[in-house]
Amino acid sequence: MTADTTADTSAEVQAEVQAEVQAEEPAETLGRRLSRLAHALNRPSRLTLMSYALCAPLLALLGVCFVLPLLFMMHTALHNPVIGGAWPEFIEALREDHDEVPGEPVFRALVQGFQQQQEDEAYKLTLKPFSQQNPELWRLLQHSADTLPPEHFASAKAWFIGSDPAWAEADTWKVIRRVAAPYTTHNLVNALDVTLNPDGNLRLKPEERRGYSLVIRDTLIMGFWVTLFALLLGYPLAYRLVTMRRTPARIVLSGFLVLLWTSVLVKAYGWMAVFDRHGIINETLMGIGFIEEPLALRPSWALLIVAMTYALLPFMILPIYQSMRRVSLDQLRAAVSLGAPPARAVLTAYLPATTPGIAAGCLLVFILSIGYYTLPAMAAGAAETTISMLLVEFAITIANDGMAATMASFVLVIAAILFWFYMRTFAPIRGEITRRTSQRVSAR
Amino acid sequence: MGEPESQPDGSECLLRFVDVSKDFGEDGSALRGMNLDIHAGEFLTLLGPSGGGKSTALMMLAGFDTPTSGDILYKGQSIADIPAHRRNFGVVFQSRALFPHLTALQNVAYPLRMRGIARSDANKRAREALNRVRLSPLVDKRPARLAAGEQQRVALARAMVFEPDVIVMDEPMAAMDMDLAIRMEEEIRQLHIDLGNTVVYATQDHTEAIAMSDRIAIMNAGAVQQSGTPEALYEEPQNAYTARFMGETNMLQGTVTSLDAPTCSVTLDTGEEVTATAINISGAGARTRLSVRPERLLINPDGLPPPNRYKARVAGMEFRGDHTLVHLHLASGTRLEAKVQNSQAEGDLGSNDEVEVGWHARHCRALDPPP
Repeated sequence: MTADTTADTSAEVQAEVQAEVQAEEPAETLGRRLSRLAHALNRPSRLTLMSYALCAPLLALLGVCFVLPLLFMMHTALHNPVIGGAWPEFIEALREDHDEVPGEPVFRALVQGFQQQQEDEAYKLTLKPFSQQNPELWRLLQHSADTLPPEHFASAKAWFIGSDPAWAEADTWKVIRRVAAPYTTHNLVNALDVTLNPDGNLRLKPEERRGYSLVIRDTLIMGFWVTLFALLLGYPLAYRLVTMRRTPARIVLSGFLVLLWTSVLVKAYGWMAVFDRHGIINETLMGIGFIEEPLALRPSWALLIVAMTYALLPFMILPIYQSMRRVSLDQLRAAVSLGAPPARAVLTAYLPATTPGIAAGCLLVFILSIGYYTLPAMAAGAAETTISMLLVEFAITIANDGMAATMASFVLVIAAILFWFYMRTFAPIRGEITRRTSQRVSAR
Repeated sequence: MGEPESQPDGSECLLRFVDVSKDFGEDGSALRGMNLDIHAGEFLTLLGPSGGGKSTALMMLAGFDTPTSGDILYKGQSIADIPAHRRNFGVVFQSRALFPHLTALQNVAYPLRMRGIARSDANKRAREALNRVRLSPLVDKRPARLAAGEQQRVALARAMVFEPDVIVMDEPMAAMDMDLAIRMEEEIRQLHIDLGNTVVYATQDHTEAIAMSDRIAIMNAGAVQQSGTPEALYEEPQNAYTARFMGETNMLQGTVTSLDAPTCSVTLDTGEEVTATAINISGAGARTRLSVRPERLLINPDGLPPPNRYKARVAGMEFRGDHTLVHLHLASGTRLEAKVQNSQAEGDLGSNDEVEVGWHARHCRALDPPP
């Protein structure tokens, strides 16, 4: 027994050594990292167990306060709450029947539903999802409910089809099935300003009826500009910081941290003081007689982008600064000594070595900007709408949880996609690029 | 051994530092009137302690910095106004300074691409250069995947691939482990012999400098203390600093009693009379430091005339493989160290033995006074 285990272990060790030797060749793959993790988990020393135990509260907190709410939010976005609870018999019957036009039991259940609805006012709500999603179907249902004869009949199906031939159409039932499903893409479809045909194809709503998709588009455009400006401002600034002496660089950096710690409200209020109707800009311009009437600088899209850029600038500068610190000045010198004119040296030797920092900064700023609420609400509130403002509108004013959750999910999904892209593109090379190639690392 | 190398005439001098000074203000090392000639095709090493001005000199030669005063001439012309990227000098940095986002091949092809050479040609030449430093199997790896020695070889290939007029190497072997450094020494030396380009090399390690260089310039306090072949610097130092920096030596302090060129008589502070070769002696009464290499000390010498002959006690013996270091105490308390080749030792020396120790006057050099 013992001998066997030893043999196993040595085989394992051999395999591991082999894996290590092979891993020299390709870049370290996710698979290899996982297998190494698995290996570490298989040999739980007291130390690793201890460290996991120490992490447990954090993991629990993450699960309860972060993962669960996100899952719940995405559930809310897709959940179809009303009809399932209201007409349980009908839903049940519909689920058991797989024909294009269902049989008698489904029609009977529908009759039951109508009768209950007539008896109980609360059931009026049942038809709400129909009215939202498909007005034609809603009219059909209303009509049938209103003309429903009080007496029992031999075949409910025959009566329904007799009252309106639409009941015999497969399309009608496709729509009903979709509305009655426990989960619905209705919120999603609605947010993107598309409509679902009965056959499930997506069609863009006519231009005049689009709204939410424009908000999403505008928010993404705003995120793009904010990211771009933050990059254009932040990159040279970070470079200046890196080339500065240590002490002044620390002072400037702590200045950025203070900017980061300052409440968003305070910052927003500061911007209002500058851009308001009687703010510094207008007062100054009027004071020197440049304008007669105060300019309407707020609320405006431009102000929003300016304010957001400054609010998020530290998130751009810090990762870039970090990545720049790892690039030694020698690399720039090397490029020049190898024949690159200074500008070309920066473009070919310096900039590419800082791309991981640039990517991280852009990722942070973009994701934060599309989810920002306070500044957009204060700087552009009346003029423009962003996803986050729409979210607050749905969650608080209209109390449409489904749409609020959908909007929140959009931000989450965009962030996730960008993060995935970042990890896929930069994670494999980040280690290679940001590791100092000089021996200073080992010397330390 | 004649005079340490005299000033070469201008025709064979490729690079010339003329009174080059650099003032960094409060911090950093500075140059104070550096003068040095570098000949075409030679391997010249700047040897000195950190802060001695080696790097400053190299950075100015490469064009990353400008002298505060003085001038650097290349083929007789000042290069002060030529920007670094047009100097056509290859530079190898201590930090290697490889581009982390490029593969080994792309790194080496970089200087060729910067010279407008088409990608396929550049890659071909880069491959040849990498082949020359025996890195062919690793051309597609990024620097972070390469070992320290491999990185430095990529850096070498990159600095040589565009056939620069001068290759500048700033302590490329610092912080490498000794084995690797010794192998790299041989490779760099061989590349220099094969390609015949001019190399200006900086190091703090005198054995490295001695092994690799055609000529060495000892740098300290921002100036060249002495330059010449490794042999000349080792055997015929012109000042105490050079004598000490080039290797182990016995340094004795004393006062000159009489000067009779080329020799002089010196009374050591501890009382002994010594006859030495006068190097930096102005006349009788001058203070001086005497330098005798340990391997030049003779134990129980036959036929060596006084005065360079003293009674001593063996205070200790250190076995060092090829030789043994013998610690000797003279009666006056003067301490000396002698190297005895183990292959020639008669094996009859032991601790506390009473011996006679001496040296030839030509091996004892009377140098500049103690500070």
